[in-house]
Parts: sequence; C-alpha cells; structure tokens
Amino acid sequence: MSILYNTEEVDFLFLLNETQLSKGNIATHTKKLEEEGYLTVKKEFVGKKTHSTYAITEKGKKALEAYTAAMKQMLDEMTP
Amino acid sequence: MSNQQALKQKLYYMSQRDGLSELFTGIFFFFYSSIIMTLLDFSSDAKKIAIFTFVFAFSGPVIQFIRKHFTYSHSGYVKGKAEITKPFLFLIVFPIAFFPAVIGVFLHIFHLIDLIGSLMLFSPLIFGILFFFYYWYQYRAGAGFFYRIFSFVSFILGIFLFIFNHLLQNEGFYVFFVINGAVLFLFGLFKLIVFMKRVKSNENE
Repeated sequence: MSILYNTEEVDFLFLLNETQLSKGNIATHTKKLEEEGYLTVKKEFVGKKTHSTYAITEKGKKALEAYTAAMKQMLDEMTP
Repeated sequence: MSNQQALKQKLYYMSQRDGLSELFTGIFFFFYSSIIMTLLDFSSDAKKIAIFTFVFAFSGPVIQFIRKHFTYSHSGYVKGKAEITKPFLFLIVFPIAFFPAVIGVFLHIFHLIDLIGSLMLFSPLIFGILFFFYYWYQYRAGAGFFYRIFSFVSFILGIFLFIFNHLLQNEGFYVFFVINGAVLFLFGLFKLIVFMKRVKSNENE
C-alpha cells in the first residue's frame, strides 16, 4: 500500500519485484484490497499476456493515513 | 527526510530509469527554441514547428505506452508521482511555456521591437534562472543526482550566454535551448541503453 500511495500506478511485476512476495500472495492481497475499494485494478493485453495495473483510491489513501497515524500514536504511547 | 518522502523519491527515480522522459524533453527543447526563432524571423515554418512542439509537449501518454509495452514490460512498470506544486507551475512552467506567446504578442500585435530586443538580451539569464529551478525541482522529486548538476550548470550557462549574447546576435536563448536539449537527449539515450542492457542481463540470469 505504501508503494501504491507514493505512485500513480504500478503493475503486478513491479509489486512482485519490490515486495519479494510470491505471486499468489500478491494476487490474494490485491484482490482483498480491491474488494474493500482501497485500490483499482486495470487489466489490459500487452502482446498476448494480461497486464494488470494497480492504483490506490481516495478511500485507500485515507485508510492508510489513518492506519499509520494510529500506529504512530501507539508507538508514541509505548515510548517512555 | 521521512521514510515516506524517501520512498516517494526512490519510486519516482525508478519510474524514470529508462531515460524516455529526458529523450522526449530534449527533442521538445529543440522544437521549442525553433518556435521562438521562427517567430522572430517571420518564417512560414512556424506552424509546422508549432505542431511538433505541441505533440512533444503532450507526449506523456506516448511515453507511458512505450514504457508499458517495451521498456518496462520485463522489469515491472511504475508511474511515479511528482506533485506539481502551485509555485512551480506559476513561477517556472508557465514563464517557460508562454515565452514564445509573449514574443508573438509584443512583436506581431503591438510591434514593440525595442521591448523584444531587451527581452532577447536578457533571455539567457532568465532561462538560466528558470531552468535552475526546473532541474532542482526534478532533483528534489527524486530524478537523480545528475539533475542537481544540470541545475547549476544551466544557471552558469545562462550567465555565460547573457554576457556573450551580443556576439550571438541576441540569439543566446537559442544556444541555451540547443545545449540543454542536446544534453538531455544524450543523457536520455545513455540511460535507455544502460537500462535495456540491465534488463537483458537480468533476463539471461
């Protein structure tokens, strides 16, 4: 989500290389995030292969900002 | 620098690795300087050059298409996010973009030849300052260390051409754009060759 937050769009291969996750793992994550409306998926053909491009939505941006803010607050509270 | 900012810069850099942006910008600068020249020379080629310049100014979708289908098709496609701030847009992009329009209006509508002469005299200095900030913005966005060098070199080049502008018959701005265009074009070509070599070697591995 951090990658998507800081880019306009990325494809599946880029996410695969950057996150070092497995193909199945990324596919599952992106599907769930798409169902929640946090990202949009654009599928098109590049040659004979399917090419999936991902972009974060406004809802996704807000959710990530809320999550990072909550995490920061939690860490601040834990720090003596 | 925050982690988010560093990540954003890294991703922007990754989206510019193939050098296509520099290639297209370099070509655009050639046509752009030719527009100003034709406006001053009353040349009939102005329309043709204007069309080419217009095409290259809006070549973003073409670059994205090439990236998706060719350059980034085997290494992973990413479109970076370089937020264009209002000061950058109004103080850098617009003055550069509307320079030919200003010349055209002053010269052909109001016939202010003296004013155009003064504008031409100072134009290398003006462009030197504008390009300093243009490249600096690119550097801050994450385009790479070379842009930091470009920013200082173009500023020095602007001063240099301003000093010797009378020897160039007030066409220092043309030399300025040609040098910037050539440097960006060659830099883009270099980046493209290096990038494609790296992609091929990764594929072979």
